[in-house]
Amino acid sequence: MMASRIKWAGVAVIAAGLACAPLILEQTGNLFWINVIAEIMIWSLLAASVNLLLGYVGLLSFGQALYFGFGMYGVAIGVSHFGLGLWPAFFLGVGAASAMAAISGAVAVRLTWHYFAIITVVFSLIFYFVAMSAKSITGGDDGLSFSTPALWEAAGLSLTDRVTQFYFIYMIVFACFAAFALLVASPLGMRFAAVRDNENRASLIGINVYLTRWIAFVIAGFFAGVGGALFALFGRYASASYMFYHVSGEAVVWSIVGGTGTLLGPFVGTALLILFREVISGIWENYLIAVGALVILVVMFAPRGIVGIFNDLISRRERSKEGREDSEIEPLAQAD
Amino acid sequence: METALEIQGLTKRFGGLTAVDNIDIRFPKGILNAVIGPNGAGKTTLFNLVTGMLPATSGHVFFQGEDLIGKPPHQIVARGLSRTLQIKSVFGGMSVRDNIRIAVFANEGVSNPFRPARGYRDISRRVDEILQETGLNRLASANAGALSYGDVALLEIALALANRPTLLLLDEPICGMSPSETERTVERITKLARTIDVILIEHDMEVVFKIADLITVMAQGRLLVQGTPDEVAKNDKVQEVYLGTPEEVE
Repeated sequence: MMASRIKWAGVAVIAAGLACAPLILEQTGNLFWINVIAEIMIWSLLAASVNLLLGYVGLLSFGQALYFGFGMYGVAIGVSHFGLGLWPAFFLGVGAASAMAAISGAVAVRLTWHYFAIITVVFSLIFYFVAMSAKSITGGDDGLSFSTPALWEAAGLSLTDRVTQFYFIYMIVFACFAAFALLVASPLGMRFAAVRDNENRASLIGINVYLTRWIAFVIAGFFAGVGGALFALFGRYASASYMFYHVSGEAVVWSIVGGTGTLLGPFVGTALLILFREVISGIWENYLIAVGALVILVVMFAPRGIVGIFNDLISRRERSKEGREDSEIEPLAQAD
Repeated sequence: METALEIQGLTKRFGGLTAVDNIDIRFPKGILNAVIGPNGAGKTTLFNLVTGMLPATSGHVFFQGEDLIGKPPHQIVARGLSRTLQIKSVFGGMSVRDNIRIAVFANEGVSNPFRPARGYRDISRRVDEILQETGLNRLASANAGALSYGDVALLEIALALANRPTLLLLDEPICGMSPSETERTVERITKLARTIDVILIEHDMEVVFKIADLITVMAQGRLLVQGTPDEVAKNDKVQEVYLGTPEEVE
Protein backbone atom coordinates (compact mmCIF):
# COMPACT_ATOMS: atom_id res chain seq x y z
CA MET A 1 0.00 0.00 0.00
CA MET A 2 2.95 2.30 0.71
CA ALA A 3 4.04 2.05 -2.91
CA SER A 4 0.80 3.40 -4.27
CA ARG A 5 0.88 6.23 -1.72
CA ILE A 6 4.33 7.27 -2.97
CA LYS A 7 3.04 7.17 -6.55
CA TRP A 8 0.05 9.34 -5.74
CA ALA A 9 2.31 11.76 -3.92
CA GLY A 10 4.30 12.03 -7.14
CA VAL A 11 1.13 12.78 -9.08
CA ALA A 12 0.13 15.44 -6.55
CA VAL A 13 3.57 17.09 -6.71
CA ILE A 14 3.44 17.33 -10.50
CA ALA A 15 -0.14 18.63 -10.49
CA ALA A 16 0.67 21.24 -7.84
CA GLY A 17 3.90 22.21 -9.61
CA LEU A 18 2.03 22.79 -12.86
CA ALA A 19 -0.65 24.80 -11.09
CA CYS A 20 1.98 27.14 -9.64
CA ALA A 21 4.11 27.32 -12.77
CA PRO A 22 2.47 30.34 -14.49
CA LEU A 23 2.53 32.44 -11.31
CA ILE A 24 6.22 31.80 -10.83
CA LEU A 25 7.08 32.26 -14.50
CA GLU A 26 5.10 35.49 -14.62
CA GLN A 27 7.00 36.82 -11.61
CA THR A 28 10.33 35.93 -13.16
CA GLY A 29 9.31 37.26 -16.54
CA ASN A 30 9.64 33.98 -18.43
CA LEU A 31 6.32 34.33 -20.24
CA PHE A 32 7.47 32.20 -23.16
CA TRP A 33 7.72 29.16 -20.89
CA ILE A 34 4.08 29.41 -19.84
CA ASN A 35 3.13 28.56 -23.39
CA VAL A 36 5.72 25.79 -23.62
CA ILE A 37 4.24 24.10 -20.56
CA ALA A 38 0.71 24.56 -21.90
CA GLU A 39 1.81 22.92 -25.12
CA ILE A 40 3.40 20.03 -23.21
CA MET A 41 0.13 19.43 -21.37
CA ILE A 42 -1.81 19.37 -24.65
CA TRP A 43 0.57 16.99 -26.39
CA SER A 44 0.65 14.71 -23.36
CA LEU A 45 -2.99 13.90 -24.14
CA LEU A 46 -1.94 12.56 -27.53
CA ALA A 47 0.76 10.50 -25.80
CA ALA A 48 -1.85 9.32 -23.27
CA SER A 49 -4.00 8.20 -26.18
CA VAL A 50 -1.11 6.08 -27.51
CA ASN A 51 -0.46 4.83 -24.00
CA LEU A 52 -4.04 3.68 -23.44
CA LEU A 53 -3.81 1.48 -26.52
CA LEU A 54 -0.21 0.31 -26.21
CA GLY A 55 0.20 0.11 -22.45
CA TYR A 56 -3.25 -1.02 -21.40
CA VAL A 57 -4.76 -2.94 -24.34
CA GLY A 58 -1.63 -4.01 -26.17
CA LEU A 59 -2.26 -2.27 -29.50
CA LEU A 60 0.44 -0.15 -31.12
CA SER A 61 -1.17 2.66 -33.10
CA PHE A 62 0.78 4.90 -35.43
CA GLY A 63 -2.32 6.86 -36.33
CA GLN A 64 -3.49 8.67 -33.20
CA ALA A 65 -2.65 12.04 -34.79
CA LEU A 66 -5.65 11.50 -37.04
CA TYR A 67 -8.00 11.96 -34.06
CA PHE A 68 -5.90 14.86 -32.81
CA GLY A 69 -6.40 16.40 -36.25
CA PHE A 70 -10.14 15.78 -36.12
CA GLY A 71 -10.26 17.50 -32.75
CA MET A 72 -8.44 20.48 -34.24
CA TYR A 73 -10.58 20.73 -37.34
CA GLY A 74 -13.79 20.21 -35.38
CA VAL A 75 -12.99 23.36 -33.40
CA ALA A 76 -11.64 25.35 -36.34
CA ILE A 77 -14.52 24.49 -38.66
CA GLY A 78 -17.04 24.96 -35.85
CA VAL A 79 -15.79 28.48 -35.16
CA SER A 80 -14.96 29.69 -38.65
CA HIS A 81 -17.63 27.99 -40.76
CA PHE A 82 -20.52 27.61 -38.30
CA GLY A 83 -19.75 30.52 -36.00
CA LEU A 84 -19.98 28.35 -32.88
CA GLY A 85 -19.01 29.52 -29.41
CA LEU A 86 -16.13 28.08 -27.46
CA TRP A 87 -17.77 25.10 -25.80
CA PRO A 88 -19.95 23.99 -28.73
CA ALA A 89 -16.88 24.12 -30.98
CA PHE A 90 -14.85 22.23 -28.39
CA PHE A 91 -17.44 19.46 -28.16
CA LEU A 92 -17.76 19.37 -31.94
CA GLY A 93 -14.03 18.70 -32.16
CA VAL A 94 -14.00 16.03 -29.46
CA GLY A 95 -17.18 14.47 -30.86
CA ALA A 96 -15.77 14.37 -34.39
CA ALA A 97 -12.57 12.72 -33.15
CA SER A 98 -14.49 10.10 -31.14
CA ALA A 99 -16.84 9.39 -34.02
CA MET A 100 -13.95 8.99 -36.41
CA ALA A 101 -12.25 6.63 -33.94
CA ALA A 102 -15.49 4.64 -33.67
CA ILE A 103 -15.65 4.20 -37.44
CA SER A 104 -12.00 3.47 -38.18
CA GLY A 105 -11.69 1.44 -34.98
CA ALA A 106 -14.44 -0.91 -36.10
CA VAL A 107 -12.13 -1.96 -38.93
CA ALA A 108 -8.73 -1.54 -37.26
CA VAL A 109 -9.29 -3.56 -34.08
CA ARG A 110 -10.11 -6.66 -36.08
CA LEU A 111 -6.35 -6.78 -36.58
CA THR A 112 -3.50 -6.93 -34.09
CA TRP A 113 0.23 -6.27 -33.99
CA HIS A 114 1.89 -5.02 -37.17
CA TYR A 115 -1.30 -5.32 -39.20
CA PHE A 116 -3.03 -3.07 -36.71
CA ALA A 117 -0.13 -0.60 -36.74
CA ILE A 118 -0.18 -0.51 -40.54
CA ILE A 119 -3.91 0.06 -40.84
CA THR A 120 -3.79 2.93 -38.34
CA VAL A 121 -1.11 4.57 -40.49
CA VAL A 122 -3.18 3.98 -43.60
CA PHE A 123 -6.24 5.63 -42.06
CA SER A 124 -4.29 8.70 -41.02
CA LEU A 125 -2.68 8.95 -44.46
CA ILE A 126 -6.05 8.73 -46.22
CA PHE A 127 -7.49 11.56 -44.16
CA TYR A 128 -4.31 13.56 -44.37
CA PHE A 129 -4.63 13.60 -48.15
CA VAL A 130 -8.39 14.22 -47.98
CA ALA A 131 -7.80 17.21 -45.71
CA MET A 132 -5.02 18.47 -47.96
CA SER A 133 -7.22 18.36 -51.05
CA ALA A 134 -10.47 19.68 -49.52
CA LYS A 135 -9.13 23.22 -49.60
CA SER A 136 -12.49 24.97 -49.31
CA ILE A 137 -13.22 23.32 -45.96
CA THR A 138 -9.82 22.70 -44.40
CA GLY A 139 -7.67 25.33 -46.00
CA GLY A 140 -5.43 22.55 -47.36
CA ASP A 141 -1.75 23.37 -47.10
CA ASP A 142 -2.35 26.73 -45.49
CA GLY A 143 -4.58 25.37 -42.75
CA LEU A 144 -7.49 27.17 -41.19
CA SER A 145 -7.05 30.18 -38.94
CA PHE A 146 -9.75 31.60 -36.71
CA SER A 147 -10.07 33.95 -33.78
CA THR A 148 -10.83 32.31 -30.46
CA PRO A 149 -14.32 32.85 -29.08
CA ALA A 150 -14.57 34.25 -25.56
CA LEU A 151 -14.26 31.78 -22.70
CA TRP A 152 -16.68 33.56 -20.42
CA GLU A 153 -17.73 36.95 -21.69
CA ALA A 154 -19.56 38.10 -18.57
CA ALA A 155 -16.48 37.56 -16.44
CA GLY A 156 -14.21 39.00 -19.07
CA LEU A 157 -12.28 35.76 -19.38
CA SER A 158 -10.58 35.25 -22.69
CA LEU A 159 -8.19 32.64 -23.97
CA THR A 160 -6.08 35.35 -25.51
CA ASP A 161 -4.78 35.94 -22.01
CA ARG A 162 -1.78 33.69 -21.59
CA VAL A 163 -2.44 32.75 -17.96
CA THR A 164 -6.19 32.24 -18.39
CA GLN A 165 -5.45 30.02 -21.33
CA PHE A 166 -2.90 28.08 -19.30
CA TYR A 167 -5.41 27.33 -16.53
CA PHE A 168 -8.12 26.44 -19.04
CA ILE A 169 -5.80 23.85 -20.59
CA TYR A 170 -4.57 22.73 -17.17
CA MET A 171 -8.07 21.99 -15.92
CA ILE A 172 -9.11 20.02 -18.96
CA VAL A 173 -5.89 18.02 -19.11
CA PHE A 174 -6.10 17.37 -15.37
CA ALA A 175 -9.68 16.12 -15.77
CA CYS A 176 -8.58 13.84 -18.61
CA PHE A 177 -5.75 12.30 -16.59
CA ALA A 178 -8.08 11.84 -13.61
CA ALA A 179 -10.58 10.08 -15.87
CA PHE A 180 -7.73 8.00 -17.28
CA ALA A 181 -6.62 6.94 -13.79
CA LEU A 182 -10.16 5.99 -12.85
CA LEU A 183 -10.66 4.13 -16.12
CA VAL A 184 -7.63 1.89 -15.83
CA ALA A 185 -8.50 0.98 -12.23
CA SER A 186 -12.13 0.24 -13.11
CA PRO A 187 -13.71 -3.07 -14.17
CA LEU A 188 -13.47 -1.87 -17.78
CA GLY A 189 -9.77 -1.17 -17.26
CA MET A 190 -9.35 -4.72 -15.94
CA ARG A 191 -10.98 -5.98 -19.12
CA PHE A 192 -8.43 -4.00 -21.12
CA ALA A 193 -5.61 -5.59 -19.11
CA ALA A 194 -7.06 -9.06 -19.61
CA VAL A 195 -7.17 -8.57 -23.37
CA ARG A 196 -3.63 -7.19 -23.34
CA ASP A 197 -2.20 -10.04 -21.25
CA ASN A 198 -3.92 -12.98 -22.90
CA GLU A 199 -6.47 -12.60 -25.62
CA ASN A 200 -7.47 -16.28 -25.75
CA ARG A 201 -7.91 -16.58 -22.04
CA ALA A 202 -9.91 -13.34 -22.04
CA SER A 203 -12.41 -14.74 -24.52
CA LEU A 204 -12.63 -17.92 -22.45
CA ILE A 205 -13.75 -16.04 -19.36
CA GLY A 206 -16.49 -14.44 -21.43
CA ILE A 207 -14.88 -11.20 -22.59
CA ASN A 208 -15.74 -9.96 -26.06
CA VAL A 209 -12.20 -9.18 -27.15
CA TYR A 210 -13.20 -7.27 -30.27
CA LEU A 211 -15.69 -5.06 -28.45
CA THR A 212 -13.22 -4.39 -25.63
CA ARG A 213 -10.54 -3.27 -28.09
CA TRP A 214 -13.03 -1.12 -29.94
CA ILE A 215 -14.13 0.65 -26.75
CA ALA A 216 -10.49 1.31 -25.89
CA PHE A 217 -9.89 2.63 -29.38
CA VAL A 218 -12.81 5.07 -29.15
CA ILE A 219 -11.70 6.29 -25.72
CA ALA A 220 -8.15 6.73 -27.05
CA GLY A 221 -9.61 8.72 -29.95
CA PHE A 222 -11.50 10.84 -27.43
CA PHE A 223 -8.32 11.74 -25.50
CA ALA A 224 -6.48 12.55 -28.72
CA GLY A 225 -9.48 14.63 -29.80
CA VAL A 226 -9.45 16.65 -26.58
CA GLY A 227 -5.77 17.31 -27.17
CA GLY A 228 -6.44 18.41 -30.74
CA ALA A 229 -9.34 20.66 -29.74
CA LEU A 230 -7.17 22.33 -27.11
CA PHE A 231 -4.33 22.74 -29.55
CA ALA A 232 -6.60 24.42 -32.07
CA LEU A 233 -7.75 26.90 -29.40
CA PHE A 234 -4.16 27.37 -28.29
CA GLY A 235 -2.86 28.14 -31.78
CA ARG A 236 -6.15 29.56 -33.16
CA TYR A 237 -5.34 27.39 -36.11
CA ALA A 238 -5.88 23.91 -37.57
CA SER A 239 -3.76 22.22 -40.18
CA ALA A 240 -3.73 18.86 -41.93
CA SER A 241 -0.02 18.57 -41.21
CA TYR A 242 -0.92 17.60 -37.62
CA MET A 243 -2.70 14.51 -38.93
CA PHE A 244 0.43 13.17 -40.54
CA TYR A 245 1.76 9.88 -39.18
CA HIS A 246 5.00 11.58 -38.31
CA VAL A 247 3.08 13.33 -35.51
CA SER A 248 1.61 9.99 -34.40
CA GLY A 249 5.11 8.54 -34.33
CA GLU A 250 6.30 11.34 -32.11
CA ALA A 251 3.52 10.56 -29.64
CA VAL A 252 4.58 6.89 -29.64
CA VAL A 253 8.13 7.98 -28.80
CA TRP A 254 6.95 10.28 -25.97
CA SER A 255 4.82 7.52 -24.57
CA ILE A 256 7.54 4.86 -24.70
CA VAL A 257 10.26 7.11 -23.26
CA GLY A 258 7.98 8.20 -20.41
CA GLY A 259 6.68 4.70 -19.80
CA THR A 260 3.73 2.89 -21.33
CA GLY A 261 1.32 1.25 -18.95
CA THR A 262 1.83 4.02 -16.38
CA LEU A 263 -0.44 6.97 -15.70
CA LEU A 264 2.16 9.72 -15.86
CA GLY A 265 4.59 8.13 -18.30
CA PRO A 266 3.17 9.92 -21.34
CA PHE A 267 3.24 13.27 -19.55
CA VAL A 268 6.82 12.79 -18.37
CA GLY A 269 7.96 11.63 -21.81
CA THR A 270 6.24 14.50 -23.59
CA ALA A 271 7.59 17.06 -21.13
CA LEU A 272 11.11 15.74 -21.35
CA LEU A 273 11.28 15.58 -25.13
CA ILE A 274 9.55 18.90 -25.76
CA LEU A 275 11.81 20.65 -23.23
CA PHE A 276 14.75 18.92 -24.84
CA ARG A 277 13.62 20.23 -28.23
CA GLU A 278 13.09 23.77 -26.94
CA VAL A 279 16.47 23.91 -25.23
CA ILE A 280 18.72 21.95 -27.58
CA SER A 281 17.25 22.73 -31.01
CA GLY A 282 18.43 26.34 -30.69
CA ILE A 283 21.99 25.20 -30.07
CA TRP A 284 22.33 22.12 -32.23
CA GLU A 285 20.18 21.65 -35.31
CA ASN A 286 20.68 17.88 -35.50
CA TYR A 287 19.32 17.38 -31.98
CA LEU A 288 17.00 14.65 -33.25
CA ILE A 289 20.01 12.31 -33.37
CA ALA A 290 20.24 12.66 -29.60
CA VAL A 291 16.50 11.98 -29.27
CA GLY A 292 16.94 8.83 -31.37
CA ALA A 293 19.79 7.64 -29.17
CA LEU A 294 17.73 8.28 -26.04
CA VAL A 295 14.81 6.26 -27.42
CA ILE A 296 17.08 3.34 -28.28
CA LEU A 297 18.57 3.39 -24.78
CA VAL A 298 15.15 3.47 -23.12
CA VAL A 299 13.74 0.66 -25.26
CA MET A 300 16.79 -1.51 -24.57
CA PHE A 301 17.37 -0.86 -20.89
CA ALA A 302 14.08 0.44 -19.54
CA PRO A 303 11.27 -1.04 -21.62
CA ARG A 304 8.74 0.41 -19.18
CA GLY A 305 10.16 3.90 -19.58
CA ILE A 306 11.28 6.49 -17.08
CA VAL A 307 8.19 6.24 -14.88
CA GLY A 308 8.49 2.45 -15.13
CA ILE A 309 11.98 2.66 -13.60
CA PHE A 310 10.62 4.70 -10.70
CA ASN A 311 7.75 2.30 -10.14
CA ASP A 312 10.16 -0.64 -10.10
CA LEU A 313 12.40 1.10 -7.61
CA ILE A 314 9.47 1.87 -5.32
CA SER A 315 8.07 -1.63 -5.40
CA ARG A 316 11.51 -3.21 -4.94
CA ARG A 317 12.01 -1.15 -1.81
CA GLU A 318 8.57 -2.25 -0.65
CA ARG A 319 9.35 -5.89 -1.22
CA SER A 320 12.64 -5.85 0.62
CA LYS A 321 10.80 -4.27 3.54
CA GLU A 322 8.02 -6.85 3.50
CA GLY A 323 10.40 -9.67 2.69
CA ARG A 324 10.28 -11.14 6.16
CA GLU A 325 6.50 -11.36 6.29
CA ASP A 326 6.33 -12.74 2.74
CA SER A 327 8.72 -15.58 3.39
CA GLU A 328 5.99 -17.57 5.07
CA ILE A 329 4.14 -17.92 1.77
CA GLU A 330 5.26 -21.21 0.29
CA PRO A 331 4.51 -22.64 -3.10
CA LEU A 332 1.32 -24.63 -2.98
CA ALA A 333 3.13 -27.88 -3.67
CA GLN A 334 4.68 -27.85 -0.22
CA ALA A 335 1.81 -26.19 1.52
CA ASP A 336 0.00 -29.18 2.92
CA MET B 1 -30.04 -40.11 -18.58
CA GLU B 2 -30.02 -36.41 -19.45
CA THR B 3 -27.39 -35.01 -21.77
CA ALA B 4 -24.70 -32.52 -20.82
CA LEU B 5 -23.33 -32.11 -24.33
CA GLU B 6 -24.28 -33.72 -27.61
CA ILE B 7 -22.07 -33.74 -30.67
CA GLN B 8 -23.55 -34.62 -34.06
CA GLY B 9 -21.61 -35.26 -37.25
CA LEU B 10 -18.83 -32.90 -36.21
CA THR B 11 -15.97 -32.59 -38.70
CA LYS B 12 -12.88 -30.42 -38.82
CA ARG B 13 -10.47 -30.47 -41.73
CA PHE B 14 -7.16 -28.61 -41.81
CA GLY B 15 -6.33 -28.67 -45.50
CA GLY B 16 -5.87 -32.35 -46.30
CA LEU B 17 -5.87 -33.49 -42.67
CA THR B 18 -9.15 -34.46 -41.05
CA ALA B 19 -8.56 -33.82 -37.36
CA VAL B 20 -12.13 -34.61 -36.30
CA ASP B 21 -13.98 -36.94 -38.62
CA ASN B 22 -17.78 -36.94 -38.59
CA ILE B 23 -18.06 -37.62 -34.88
CA ASP B 24 -21.24 -38.34 -32.89
CA ILE B 25 -20.88 -38.36 -29.11
CA ARG B 26 -23.32 -37.90 -26.26
CA PHE B 27 -21.90 -36.92 -22.89
CA PRO B 28 -24.43 -37.77 -20.16
CA LYS B 29 -25.17 -35.32 -17.35
CA GLY B 30 -24.33 -35.80 -13.69
CA ILE B 31 -21.21 -37.92 -14.15
CA LEU B 32 -17.50 -37.38 -14.72
CA ASN B 33 -16.77 -37.92 -18.41
CA ALA B 34 -13.24 -38.50 -19.66
CA VAL B 35 -11.95 -38.35 -23.21
CA ILE B 36 -8.81 -40.32 -23.95
CA GLY B 37 -6.91 -41.32 -27.04
CA PRO B 38 -3.39 -41.38 -28.42
CA ASN B 39 -1.67 -38.19 -29.57
CA GLY B 40 -3.34 -36.73 -32.63
CA ALA B 41 -6.67 -38.38 -31.85
CA GLY B 42 -8.39 -34.98 -32.11
CA LYS B 43 -9.30 -34.49 -28.44
CA THR B 44 -8.14 -30.91 -28.09
CA THR B 45 -9.51 -30.05 -31.53
CA LEU B 46 -12.84 -31.38 -30.33
CA PHE B 47 -12.73 -29.03 -27.32
CA ASN B 48 -11.71 -26.15 -29.60
CA LEU B 49 -14.70 -26.79 -31.83
CA VAL B 50 -17.10 -27.05 -28.91
CA THR B 51 -15.89 -23.78 -27.36
CA GLY B 52 -15.86 -21.82 -30.62
CA MET B 53 -12.10 -21.36 -30.72
CA LEU B 54 -12.00 -23.09 -34.10
CA PRO B 55 -14.68 -22.95 -36.80
CA ALA B 56 -16.11 -26.39 -37.61
CA THR B 57 -16.12 -27.71 -41.16
CA SER B 58 -19.53 -29.25 -40.53
CA GLY B 59 -21.71 -30.68 -37.78
CA HIS B 60 -23.49 -29.57 -34.62
CA VAL B 61 -22.76 -29.24 -30.93
CA PHE B 62 -25.84 -29.09 -28.70
CA PHE B 63 -25.58 -27.60 -25.22
CA GLN B 64 -28.78 -26.97 -23.28
CA GLY B 65 -30.78 -27.48 -26.45
CA GLU B 66 -28.83 -24.87 -28.43
CA ASP B 67 -26.38 -25.38 -31.29
CA LEU B 68 -23.06 -23.80 -30.34
CA ILE B 69 -21.48 -24.03 -33.78
CA GLY B 70 -20.89 -20.58 -35.27
CA LYS B 71 -20.97 -18.79 -31.92
CA PRO B 72 -17.87 -16.91 -30.71
CA PRO B 73 -16.09 -18.17 -27.56
CA HIS B 74 -17.28 -15.39 -25.25
CA GLN B 75 -20.93 -16.13 -26.06
CA ILE B 76 -20.45 -19.84 -25.44
CA VAL B 77 -18.75 -19.10 -22.12
CA ALA B 78 -21.67 -16.84 -21.19
CA ARG B 79 -24.00 -19.84 -21.52
CA GLY B 80 -22.21 -21.60 -18.69
CA LEU B 81 -19.66 -23.67 -20.55
CA SER B 82 -16.11 -23.11 -19.26
CA ARG B 83 -12.85 -24.69 -20.25
CA THR B 84 -9.18 -24.80 -19.38
CA LEU B 85 -6.42 -24.93 -21.97
CA GLN B 86 -3.91 -27.67 -22.61
CA ILE B 87 -1.12 -25.12 -22.79
CA LYS B 88 -1.75 -23.38 -19.51
CA SER B 89 -2.04 -19.64 -19.66
CA VAL B 90 -3.41 -16.98 -17.38
CA PHE B 91 -3.09 -13.19 -17.13
CA GLY B 92 0.62 -13.02 -16.37
CA GLY B 93 0.79 -9.32 -15.57
CA MET B 94 -1.61 -9.43 -12.61
CA SER B 95 -1.84 -11.00 -9.18
CA VAL B 96 -3.70 -14.28 -8.71
CA ARG B 97 -6.47 -12.36 -6.96
CA ASP B 98 -6.84 -9.92 -9.87
CA ASN B 99 -6.89 -12.81 -12.34
CA ILE B 100 -9.93 -14.19 -10.58
CA ARG B 101 -11.41 -10.74 -10.06
CA ILE B 102 -11.41 -9.99 -13.78
CA ALA B 103 -13.06 -13.36 -14.46
CA VAL B 104 -15.78 -12.64 -11.90
CA PHE B 105 -16.35 -9.18 -13.39
CA ALA B 106 -16.65 -10.74 -16.82
CA ASN B 107 -19.14 -13.27 -15.51
CA GLU B 108 -21.22 -10.58 -13.79
CA GLY B 109 -21.07 -8.45 -16.94
CA VAL B 110 -19.73 -5.45 -15.03
CA SER B 111 -17.63 -3.05 -17.09
CA ASN B 112 -18.27 0.31 -15.46
CA PRO B 113 -15.41 2.69 -16.29
CA PHE B 114 -16.24 5.16 -13.51
CA ARG B 115 -15.75 3.10 -10.36
CA PRO B 116 -12.56 1.51 -8.98
CA ALA B 117 -12.60 -2.25 -9.44
CA ARG B 118 -11.47 -2.83 -5.87
CA GLY B 119 -14.52 -1.05 -4.51
CA TYR B 120 -16.97 -3.82 -5.42
CA ARG B 121 -17.58 -5.68 -2.16
CA ASP B 122 -19.77 -8.47 -3.54
CA ILE B 123 -17.24 -9.18 -6.29
CA SER B 124 -14.38 -9.28 -3.79
CA ARG B 125 -16.35 -11.69 -1.63
CA ARG B 126 -16.83 -14.07 -4.53
CA VAL B 127 -13.16 -13.80 -5.44
CA ASP B 128 -12.29 -14.84 -1.89
CA GLU B 129 -14.69 -17.77 -2.12
CA ILE B 130 -13.05 -19.00 -5.29
CA LEU B 131 -9.58 -18.55 -3.81
CA GLN B 132 -10.70 -20.64 -0.87
CA GLU B 133 -12.43 -23.26 -3.01
CA THR B 134 -9.41 -23.84 -5.22
CA GLY B 135 -6.85 -23.58 -2.43
CA LEU B 136 -5.15 -20.62 -4.08
CA ASN B 137 -5.66 -18.25 -1.15
CA ARG B 138 -2.05 -18.65 0.00
CA LEU B 139 -0.94 -17.26 -3.36
CA ALA B 140 -3.60 -14.55 -3.66
CA SER B 141 -1.18 -11.63 -3.97
CA ALA B 142 1.51 -13.48 -5.91
CA ASN B 143 2.07 -12.46 -9.51
CA ALA B 144 0.36 -14.97 -11.79
CA GLY B 145 3.30 -14.85 -14.19
CA ALA B 146 5.61 -16.22 -11.51
CA LEU B 147 3.54 -19.26 -10.46
CA SER B 148 4.68 -22.85 -10.80
CA TYR B 149 3.13 -24.79 -13.65
CA GLY B 150 0.90 -26.73 -11.31
CA ASP B 151 -0.38 -23.54 -9.67
CA VAL B 152 -1.09 -22.01 -13.08
CA ALA B 153 -3.20 -25.08 -13.86
CA LEU B 154 -5.10 -24.53 -10.61
CA LEU B 155 -5.59 -20.87 -11.43
CA GLU B 156 -6.98 -21.87 -14.82
CA ILE B 157 -9.56 -23.99 -13.06
CA ALA B 158 -10.32 -21.09 -10.74
CA LEU B 159 -10.88 -18.78 -13.74
CA ALA B 160 -13.18 -21.35 -15.30
CA LEU B 161 -15.16 -21.63 -12.06
CA ALA B 162 -15.58 -17.86 -11.82
CA ASN B 163 -17.95 -18.25 -14.75
CA ARG B 164 -20.31 -20.40 -12.59
CA PRO B 165 -20.26 -23.09 -15.28
CA THR B 166 -22.78 -25.90 -15.59
CA LEU B 167 -20.34 -27.75 -17.82
CA LEU B 168 -16.58 -27.66 -17.38
CA LEU B 169 -14.14 -28.92 -20.00
CA LEU B 170 -10.70 -29.68 -18.55
CA ASP B 171 -7.85 -30.20 -21.00
CA GLU B 172 -5.08 -32.18 -19.27
CA PRO B 173 -5.46 -30.36 -15.96
CA ILE B 174 -2.79 -32.32 -14.12
CA CYS B 175 -0.17 -32.29 -16.85
CA GLY B 176 3.11 -31.02 -15.39
CA MET B 177 2.02 -31.26 -11.76
CA SER B 178 4.06 -32.82 -8.99
CA PRO B 179 2.64 -36.01 -7.39
CA SER B 180 1.26 -34.13 -4.39
CA GLU B 181 -0.27 -31.42 -6.61
CA THR B 182 -1.78 -34.13 -8.81
CA GLU B 183 -3.35 -35.85 -5.86
CA ARG B 184 -4.88 -32.66 -4.56
CA THR B 185 -6.12 -31.54 -7.97
CA VAL B 186 -7.67 -34.92 -8.74
CA GLU B 187 -9.48 -34.72 -5.43
CA ARG B 188 -10.76 -31.27 -6.35
CA ILE B 189 -11.93 -32.41 -9.75
CA THR B 190 -13.90 -35.32 -8.33
CA LYS B 191 -15.46 -32.97 -5.81
CA LEU B 192 -16.36 -30.51 -8.56
CA ALA B 193 -17.91 -33.26 -10.64
CA ARG B 194 -20.50 -33.77 -7.91
CA THR B 195 -21.99 -30.33 -8.50
CA ILE B 196 -21.24 -29.58 -12.17
CA ASP B 197 -20.78 -31.67 -15.28
CA VAL B 198 -17.14 -32.28 -16.13
CA ILE B 199 -15.54 -33.55 -19.31
CA LEU B 200 -11.88 -34.28 -18.86
CA ILE B 201 -9.13 -34.88 -21.39
CA GLU B 202 -6.27 -36.65 -19.67
CA HIS B 203 -3.22 -38.66 -20.58
CA ASP B 204 -2.65 -40.10 -17.14
CA MET B 205 -4.52 -43.42 -17.47
CA GLU B 206 -4.21 -44.24 -13.81
CA VAL B 207 -6.11 -41.07 -12.94
CA VAL B 208 -8.69 -41.49 -15.70
CA PHE B 209 -9.57 -45.05 -14.79
CA LYS B 210 -9.73 -44.15 -11.12
CA ILE B 211 -12.07 -41.14 -11.31
CA ALA B 212 -14.02 -41.25 -14.59
CA ASP B 213 -17.54 -42.66 -14.67
CA LEU B 214 -17.67 -42.86 -18.44
CA ILE B 215 -14.72 -42.95 -20.82
CA THR B 216 -14.83 -41.86 -24.45
CA VAL B 217 -11.95 -43.14 -26.55
CA MET B 218 -10.95 -41.28 -29.71
CA ALA B 219 -8.44 -42.34 -32.34
CA GLN B 220 -7.50 -40.57 -35.56
CA GLY B 221 -10.33 -38.11 -35.30
CA ARG B 222 -13.02 -40.72 -34.78
CA LEU B 223 -15.00 -42.07 -31.87
CA LEU B 224 -13.65 -45.50 -31.08
CA VAL B 225 -15.73 -46.54 -28.12
CA GLN B 226 -17.60 -45.10 -25.16
CA GLY B 227 -18.10 -47.07 -21.98
CA THR B 228 -17.40 -47.51 -18.28
CA PRO B 229 -13.76 -47.86 -17.25
CA ASP B 230 -14.18 -51.64 -17.05
CA GLU B 231 -15.68 -51.92 -20.51
CA VAL B 232 -13.02 -49.70 -22.02
CA ALA B 233 -10.18 -51.56 -20.32
CA LYS B 234 -11.40 -54.87 -21.77
CA ASN B 235 -12.11 -53.50 -25.24
CA ASP B 236 -9.93 -55.00 -27.97
CA LYS B 237 -10.05 -51.94 -30.19
CA VAL B 238 -8.79 -49.73 -27.38
CA GLN B 239 -5.91 -52.07 -26.65
CA GLU B 240 -5.12 -52.03 -30.34
CA VAL B 241 -4.83 -48.22 -30.63
CA TYR B 242 -2.79 -47.94 -27.48
CA LEU B 243 -0.58 -51.00 -27.85
CA GLY B 244 -0.69 -51.65 -31.60
CA THR B 245 -1.99 -54.82 -33.28
CA PRO B 246 -0.83 -58.18 -31.87
CA GLU B 247 1.56 -58.69 -34.80
CA GLU B 248 3.24 -55.37 -34.09
CA VAL B 249 3.57 -56.20 -30.42
CA GLU B 250 5.35 -59.45 -31.07
